[in-house]
Amino acid sequence: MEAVTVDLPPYAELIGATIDHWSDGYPVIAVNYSVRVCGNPGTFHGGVLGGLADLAVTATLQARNLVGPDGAPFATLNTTIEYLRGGLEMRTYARATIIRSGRRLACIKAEIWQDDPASPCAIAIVNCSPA
Amino acid sequence: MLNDGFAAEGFNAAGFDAFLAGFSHNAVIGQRYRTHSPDWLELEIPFRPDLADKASGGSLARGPIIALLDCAAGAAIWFSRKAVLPQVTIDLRVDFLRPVWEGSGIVGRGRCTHVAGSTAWVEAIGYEDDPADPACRAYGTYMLFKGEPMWKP
Repeated sequence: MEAVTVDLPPYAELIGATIDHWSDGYPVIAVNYSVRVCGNPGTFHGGVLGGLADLAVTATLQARNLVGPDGAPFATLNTTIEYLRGGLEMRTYARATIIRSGRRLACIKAEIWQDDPASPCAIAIVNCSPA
Repeated sequence: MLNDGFAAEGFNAAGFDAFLAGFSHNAVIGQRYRTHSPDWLELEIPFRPDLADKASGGSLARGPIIALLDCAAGAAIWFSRKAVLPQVTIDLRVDFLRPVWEGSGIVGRGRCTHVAGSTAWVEAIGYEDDPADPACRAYGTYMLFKGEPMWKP
C-alpha cells in the first residue's frame, strides 16, 4: 500500500538506506551493515541508528501528509533515542508510528530492529510541528 | 597500531584526528577533530550535498548532526578519561533549535558533565560560528567499560 511518493534525503543514499517495504501504510526503511555505518568496530554508529529513526519519521510524515493549518509540512523539533542493544553486522530496519497528531504537534515513535521486530536495538520518541 | 591521541606525554591532537577520520561512519561524514579546552572538546563536519536534508540542498540533514553530537559527547568522555576506552551510548536527546543552512559546516562541542561509577552524563551543542548561538544541542548518558584502550598510542 504505497500511498504517496516519499523523498528520502541525500543522506539516506550516503549510508545506503532505502524504503524496503510498506507495512500497514507505514514505510519501513532498511540499510545493510557496512564500514560506512559503523561506530565501534563491528557495530552500528549510534548516530546512524538515530539517523535511521529520523529517516523513518521523515518518510512517515510525508506518507501521512502531516501538515499544519496553513499547509506547512511538519518538521522535527527534537528526538530522544534509547539505545537498547548494540546494532550488529546485519541488515537493519526502521519504522515510525504516529502516537498522536494534532494541528500543531505530532508525537512519533520510531523503532529500529535487526532480526526480530519485537526486540528493537533502539527506539526514539520524536516531536514534530509545522515548520 | 593506530595512535588514538592519548599518548603518555599528553593529548596529541593530530593522532586523535587521524583516529577519528581514519575509518567508520565518522570518516564517511567527514568528521574531524577541531580543538579543545580543559573541559570540552570540539569536532566538526562540513556541509556537503550528500549530507543535506533535501536533494535541492538547503540545510544539513539531522542524521549527520546526531552522529556529530553523539561522537563529540563520547569524545569528551574519552578526553576526560584520557584514553579511548570502550563505552556505549545509553540515550541521547537532541533538540533541533534551527536549521544549519547550506554553505556552513557545523562544530559539535561535547562536554562530560558528570561521572558516577560506570555512568557518564554529557552535553553537546552544535554551532556554525558562535557557541552562544547554537543550532542544536544534546544531552546524553553513556555506559563506561573498563579494559584496555581500544587503540593504544
